[in-house]
Amino acid sequence: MNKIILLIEDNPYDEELTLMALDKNNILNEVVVARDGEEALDFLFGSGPGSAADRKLLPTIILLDLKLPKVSGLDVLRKIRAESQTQSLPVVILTSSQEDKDLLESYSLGCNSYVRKPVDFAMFVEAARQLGLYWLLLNECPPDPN
Amino acid sequence: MKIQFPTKDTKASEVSQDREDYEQFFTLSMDPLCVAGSDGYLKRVNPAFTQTLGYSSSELLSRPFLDFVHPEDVARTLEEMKGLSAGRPSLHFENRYRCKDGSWKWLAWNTEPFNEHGILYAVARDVTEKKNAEQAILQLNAELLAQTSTLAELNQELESFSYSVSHDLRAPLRAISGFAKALEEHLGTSLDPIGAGYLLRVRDAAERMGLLIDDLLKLSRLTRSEMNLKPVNLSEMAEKMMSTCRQLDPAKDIQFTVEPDIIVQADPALLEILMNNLIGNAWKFTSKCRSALIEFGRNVQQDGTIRYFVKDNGVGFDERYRHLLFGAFQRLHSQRDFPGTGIGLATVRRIVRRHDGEVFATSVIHHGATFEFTLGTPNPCPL
Repeated sequence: MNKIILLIEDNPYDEELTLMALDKNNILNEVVVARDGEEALDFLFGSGPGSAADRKLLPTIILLDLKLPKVSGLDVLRKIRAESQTQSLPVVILTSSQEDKDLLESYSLGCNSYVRKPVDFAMFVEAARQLGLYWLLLNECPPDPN
Repeated sequence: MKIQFPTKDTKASEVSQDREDYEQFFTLSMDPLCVAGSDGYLKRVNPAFTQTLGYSSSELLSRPFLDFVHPEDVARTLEEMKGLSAGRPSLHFENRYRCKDGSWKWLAWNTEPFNEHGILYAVARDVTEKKNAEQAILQLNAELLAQTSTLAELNQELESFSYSVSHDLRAPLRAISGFAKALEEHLGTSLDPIGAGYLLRVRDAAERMGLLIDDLLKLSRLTRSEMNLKPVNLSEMAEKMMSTCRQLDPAKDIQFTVEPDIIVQADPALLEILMNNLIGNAWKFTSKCRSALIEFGRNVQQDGTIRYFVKDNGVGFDERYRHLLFGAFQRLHSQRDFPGTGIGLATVRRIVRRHDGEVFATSVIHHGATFEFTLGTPNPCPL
């Protein structure tokens, strides 16, 4: 199984809960976690050990939080859409905010989906199940440019 | 008819008559008039001049007139004098003169250039009041601008505050709810019913706080949203909401009455929220009635204003606590009897206020409540 998930999330509790929610749904794909926008960009566009270029492997799906230290989620999305090797990667915004402004901006920058993290954990698990089912199984991704 | 030919004598008498005329005008003028020399001294001033500034004529003539000019205006005045020396008349030149009592007066001047004898004639007008009014307007404008920018700043702050509430307050709640659930699963069968009950309450409370945060955000969005005024058919709106209510509980014995064709000029989205809250409340608080009655209509007051009302025969409220009714997160009923976050009537009041209206509540406890509102000239500006 070489479909990897890139989770871009700065809150350690949210990271743990997301991993737990994926695990509960038997989504056993490898999850690469970036703790801020800069780390995410390093993974996607850098050439250091463990980076996508180093592993010759791009994530199948990117779960992106909006409020991140250093480089914001929207800026990460902008960069992903600007570079040819990542421009068609599916990006799901996974955030707490449901401000209209964030929704509008995310969609206009080309996110594929926008999910608000529910407070209730059971609902969170359900959201993770549906996301995994759709993006990892049902959805056909564009062919790898490499 | 006797024809007079000009003679040397009559010429002389005419000239003296002219002088007499000018003297009269000079003395009578309500505006300050003066004659000045190229040496920088006043040579003659009229009574209006001395009255305006409060000095005697000899006081004014004894010093260079620049001594009386406001220090900040001296440079401009000297510049103007240069133009006069070069033969250019000066029109509507304004500067400040010191009065004997120490105050300053604004004078507007019309001056002819120095003549061949080094003499100039000037007419002034006291424009102090006009200048002060102008200054006051300028100052008010500056204050208004400052206040507008403060308001814009506050609005901006409110926006980022809401954003931070929306994002940052929910994250810890998710952790509380999620880890309580994880703990429950981790303990499995070793968790006794009492422990399980405690964990359930932790999660319930987290979820409720999530709802409160969402409602708080909705309320703040109401104030920030832009108004879009259109004719709104409140009767249709009420009918639709009531039929939705009926579908929720078809077995309930409830009678709806809606006065037809009530059309108002308002923001449709905001009015929908308002009506939803009032009718939703009427529905909620009649849930324990045997035969419930909900009515929507309007009354014309004695002064001609129209009050729209939603009336029910539910549990009502204690009028002693009416002042709490429209506050955010204020509740007059227990969560157990009637669930809710206490944001509905606060929302109603905000919407009515944005339409420059008023909202009223009356009730007889256990016999129902009536909520009335007016809609004035809507206020399109947030805040």
